[in-house]
Amino acid sequence: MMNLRDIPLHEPLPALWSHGLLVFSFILHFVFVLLTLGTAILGVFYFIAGQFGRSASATADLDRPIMGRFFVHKSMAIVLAVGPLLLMLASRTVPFLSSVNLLAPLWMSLIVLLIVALLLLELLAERRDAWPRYRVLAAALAGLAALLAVPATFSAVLTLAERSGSWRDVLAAGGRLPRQVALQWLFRLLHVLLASVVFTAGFLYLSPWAQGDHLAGFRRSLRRWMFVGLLVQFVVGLALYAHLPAHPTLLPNAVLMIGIAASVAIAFALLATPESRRPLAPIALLGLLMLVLVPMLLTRQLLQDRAMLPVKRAAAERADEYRSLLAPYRPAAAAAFAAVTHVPYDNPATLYFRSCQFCHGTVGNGAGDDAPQLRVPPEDLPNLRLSRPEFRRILLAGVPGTAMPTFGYYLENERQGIMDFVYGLGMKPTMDPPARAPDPAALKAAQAVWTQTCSVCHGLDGRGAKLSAGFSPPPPDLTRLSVSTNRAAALIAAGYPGTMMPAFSDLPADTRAALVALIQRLYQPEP
Amino acid sequence: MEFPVYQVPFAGNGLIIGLNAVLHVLISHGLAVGGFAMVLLALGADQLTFRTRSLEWTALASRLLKFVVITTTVLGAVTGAGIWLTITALAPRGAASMLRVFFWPWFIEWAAFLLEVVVILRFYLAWIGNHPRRRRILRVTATIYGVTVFASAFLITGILGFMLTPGGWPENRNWLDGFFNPSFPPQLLARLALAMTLGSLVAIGFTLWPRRSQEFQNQAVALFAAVLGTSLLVFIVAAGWYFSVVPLAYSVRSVFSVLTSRLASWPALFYGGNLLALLLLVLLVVAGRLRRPTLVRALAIPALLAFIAVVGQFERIREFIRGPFLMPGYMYVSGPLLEERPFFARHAALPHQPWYPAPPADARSVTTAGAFLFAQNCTGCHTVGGLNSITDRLRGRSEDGIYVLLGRTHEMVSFMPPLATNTLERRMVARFLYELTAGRLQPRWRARLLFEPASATPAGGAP
Repeated sequence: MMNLRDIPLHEPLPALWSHGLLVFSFILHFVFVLLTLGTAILGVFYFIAGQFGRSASATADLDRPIMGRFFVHKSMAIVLAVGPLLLMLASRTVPFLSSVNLLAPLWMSLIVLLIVALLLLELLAERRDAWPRYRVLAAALAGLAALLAVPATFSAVLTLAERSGSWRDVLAAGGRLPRQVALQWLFRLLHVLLASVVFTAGFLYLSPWAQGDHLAGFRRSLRRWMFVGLLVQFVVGLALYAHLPAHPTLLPNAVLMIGIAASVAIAFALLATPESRRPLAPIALLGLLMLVLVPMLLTRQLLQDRAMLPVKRAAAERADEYRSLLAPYRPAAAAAFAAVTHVPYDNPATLYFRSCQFCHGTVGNGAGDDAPQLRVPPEDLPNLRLSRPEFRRILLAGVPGTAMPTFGYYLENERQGIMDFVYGLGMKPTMDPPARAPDPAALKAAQAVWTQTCSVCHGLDGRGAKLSAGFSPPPPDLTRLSVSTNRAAALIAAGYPGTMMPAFSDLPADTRAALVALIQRLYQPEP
Repeated sequence: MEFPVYQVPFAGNGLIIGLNAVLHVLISHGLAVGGFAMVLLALGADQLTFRTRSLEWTALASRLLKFVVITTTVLGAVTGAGIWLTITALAPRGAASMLRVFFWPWFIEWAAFLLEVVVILRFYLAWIGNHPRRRRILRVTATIYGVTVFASAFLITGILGFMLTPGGWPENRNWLDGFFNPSFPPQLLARLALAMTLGSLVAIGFTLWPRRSQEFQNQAVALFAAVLGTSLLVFIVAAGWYFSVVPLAYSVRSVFSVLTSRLASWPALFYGGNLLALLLLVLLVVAGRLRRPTLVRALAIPALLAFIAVVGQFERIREFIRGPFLMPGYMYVSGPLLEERPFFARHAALPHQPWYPAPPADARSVTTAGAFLFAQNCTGCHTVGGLNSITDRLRGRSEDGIYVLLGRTHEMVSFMPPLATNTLERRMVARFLYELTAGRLQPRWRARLLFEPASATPAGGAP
């Protein structure tokens, strides 16, 4: 068994309560599950017998009242499922939810399967006389197949929930059940399907509607369903018993025996009292059916408890330990909650201080708390020369090869507000006026350096060369993005850390100054 | 977390939970409440006001009732159970935690739900059958139905309201304080009005199709249009009241929640679209009251679709703006607890993850650990390569940049939770995301966030 842990919240109701409510609500749910499956199987069977069978006239139209019952039973079965589901979730949290999660796609497909099944089977009632019989048959069979997939899924989830030893294997195997678990699941499913036929045949046999003399043939047919169903059930039950993960203890075995004895009694009664001579006494049959159903479900519950409760208890103990580990951090959690609730992101300053400051710093000079973590230092914003459209483009796309992310999640007005705020920090859309005209000789030398060296990466026009397109980060398009005079001089002298831009401190100072002038002339901001 | 992560590939978990839930809202509000109310209105209107006892009213009520019963007992019931099916599979920790706090309202709601289905089936069977005390059964079941429907709405709204405005629960952990929270009354009113609005729109559709006598059609549409106008007005007032109660820190995200990053650059779409929807609805009310059949016929379907879009937005906003929290003050939307963030920062997250297998200490285990922590912290919202893909968000970022951003998610984006790890683990997540975004990892099992290094030679390459 794995060292699993329950969630760190207490169970909402005492164990005895949840256990009692679970048993009660599950039996209620399961009765309607049996009736839903049984009426669907028998309804489709009698539709086929009536439409295509040899003695069609004897069984004609029997599917109609059966499907009428299906209409009610299926709604009840679905609604009643929620109660036991809530109780399983609240009180058998780790075994149940682990299994649900391991079989997640199957579990969620129940929604589609149920909708498809119920709508297609609804057609058997609605379009039965309007459509050609083969089309109705196709819809009914497809609906029945989808419907039978529902108990198949539920029994898979419950079988796996009782097999905590195989959870790791199931996860590793991509959701496939190991052979032993798969066999237990298969016999469990067959057991449920056979039970549905036996019980529904029994209930139909007892229903007032089936009592007329003209339906004697139908009653005989229902008795056959019950009898054959019970016989096969003995075999399937035996196979299921053989595939249980552990040998049941005395109590479940004893309860099981009551159910088996009642089943034998029903089978015997069916043999001993042929319909033509003496029909089965309704009270006796109903009593025996209940004497089968309740012990069988109790056995199931006892086996489930034996598998799940130890897992649950161990997980609960670990949850208690975990809760005490977390307890000292509750004040910190309360502070984190208050921080979110009390800070509305409804103004540019808040947006800047929350989204930009940790890199660019309070005054935008790139000295934020996280700046030392970054290989490419955050931009010194007041020294940046950036037009509004280009600024917006960077906010939307980020800067490749750096930490600068996309801010596509701002509404347009928020983005404009942030831009105003950053311009307020000193960033300018236009280039600074040149301090003084550079010396012509220096300008010529600078031109040569630009052509021979700088343009290898920046391109002759300053828009970037082919060679540097794959750099991380690539050089900026100097016609769209530039920097102030001082900053440009510093970058040329010292290089740009974390990028391919080297230091050119070996160049004469006047050449560097002329290079700055040259670069700044490239800047052509969009209006 | 206590359970492994499963993420629906491409679509992501939120979309699957949301689609099922919105379908359920439309059916449970529009048909189970609103649609059934319109059936009763049609019967009552005939007997009380018009005194015609006309077959047309009965025929209309019959058709509408059949549609309501079949749709609610199939689609409504299945999507209702489907809420549990989706959240237990996709957000097991959140589902189990919510249930442990609000077990009793949910359990009692189940009883109400059960009674609802029983009485609506009884009503329907009495309606189509020929019971001697038919009228009495109809009256009694309709009354019980009304009470149970209100009880359902009451119980569910308290829980939903808690998720955004938790009242005193974060401090005192008293579920009644969370249940009777500040947004509870306006939301309950908004939901009831929403139900009547949807119901009257559906009833107008059933009046128009199939064609009925012009006089009856005008009369019936005028009646339903009056309901539509009134309930729409109440809905707008209640929705306004609702948003006025929600703290500004949350409500400021409303427009974004509808537009998402994809459309955030065009906020006018939100305002224009909803104005258009309102216009369609008001025009339909006016056309119905003024008995203009052609105009009503042209507007009925667009107005219904427009209101469905409004309902979808209402639910989306409510679910989205609660932002970083699934349970305010206790659990982040991604699963980690608020207490776990400082705890993991100090003691590391991985040793406290029961489903994390201790990996071999090689380079690959760093990305495996990173992927595991990403799954635990981020996959409530972000997919890999699908909707809201994390690789779209991080394309072009440097590894150190990703590392820094991961430490600031909750500050940068007010609706994002923080990463609950220590700094070493944050480096692992950053490494994983960097490798992933650079295309150096490929999914081995996408739903479980298992990745392996992409093969050096492309598939089908020359030998």
